[in-house]
Amino acid sequence: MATTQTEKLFPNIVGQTAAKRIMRFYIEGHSASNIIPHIMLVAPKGCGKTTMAEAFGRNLVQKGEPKQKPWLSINCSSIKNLEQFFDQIVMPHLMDKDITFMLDECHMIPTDVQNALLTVLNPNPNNVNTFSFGEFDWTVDFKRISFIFATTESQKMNEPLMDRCKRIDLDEYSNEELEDIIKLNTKIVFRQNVLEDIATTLRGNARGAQKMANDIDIYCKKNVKKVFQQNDWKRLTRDLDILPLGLHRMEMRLLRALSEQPFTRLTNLAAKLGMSRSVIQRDFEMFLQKHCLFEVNPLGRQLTKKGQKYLKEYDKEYASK
Amino acid sequence: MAGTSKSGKTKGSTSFVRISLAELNRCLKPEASVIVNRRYVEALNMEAEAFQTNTKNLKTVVKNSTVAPIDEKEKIQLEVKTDW
Repeated sequence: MATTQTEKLFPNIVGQTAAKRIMRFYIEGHSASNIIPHIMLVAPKGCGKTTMAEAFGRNLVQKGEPKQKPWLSINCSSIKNLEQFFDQIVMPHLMDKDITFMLDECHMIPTDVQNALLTVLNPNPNNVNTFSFGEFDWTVDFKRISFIFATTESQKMNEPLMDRCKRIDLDEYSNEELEDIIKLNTKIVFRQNVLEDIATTLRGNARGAQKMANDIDIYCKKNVKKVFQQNDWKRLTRDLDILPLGLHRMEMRLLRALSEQPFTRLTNLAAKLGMSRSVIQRDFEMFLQKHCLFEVNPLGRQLTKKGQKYLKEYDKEYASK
Repeated sequence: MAGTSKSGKTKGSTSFVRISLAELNRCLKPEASVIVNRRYVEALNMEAEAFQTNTKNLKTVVKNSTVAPIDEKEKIQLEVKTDW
């Protein structure tokens, strides 16, 4: 019963059961008090932070009002300084307004704006703060403005600012949930359990599932098909260079380099791949390590048995074609 | 005639608004004419030309104010939804 009510609040949002339950708690609290804590959504890219935040915002209806509060979302990477933030955001959109305000990529907020937000968001019994900037006093009433932050990199956030927020971590998507996301985003019929194979290449990424649904739509329109099955998937993987587990071509190159030379040093790997050490570590090694395809030990990097098996099977299955 | 005319000030409406000088500076070039309240100028101990407020005169002033658009690079990327 409770689950059904939660699902009603978040239609067409797959998975994220724990996050939805927390949000439902605050939505119900908001209905009674007009107040929510400042929310901090934390998740890797493509996991649906913005979608979840918007779905949450849609449910924030003030007492006595027929519909939800207006919505303002900003990309924090485009904020330069406090003056610009005040001129372009606070004065025209927030002063004396009822609004849900989302700050996306909030780890990019400049320091002076973060410091101002410490004052603005400071919890207090009256749920009202006043922030002075230049000649203006901005009175922030938490009954009127609801704050939602979203970030992929919570470690870069100002600690006291994090402390003022209720942190909600989004879960990684299971393959079954990714299958549901694909089905939600296309009318194509899937046969021969092909969705199970597709889901394994999506890297646990909801946005990846949406993009895959679009690609499948393009493929089916191009080939005048309404049903997608195993032979279609094989053609699509070849056309779009989709590798097993959804590896990127550069990750595959990295595995190949490791297979050619056991105990490879990072510097040596960087030279072979023509990239900097930090880019290799940040962009390519993480996913391979997550799937235990290689390991790092004191002598250097080397393929695991799983990594060797991956390459062997890839060569057997794909390279010959 | 009280109670027969439909013209006049609506209860609760105001003629004046506040805006920061920084915001005006951002939008207007230095030589632009700015229309302000006479009492405001007097309170500042300054002198200014008289101005007849009507639509035609205001349009002329705005047209000659040479509005300076915000540099696209300086704009904060935002999305507003009021009816959603």
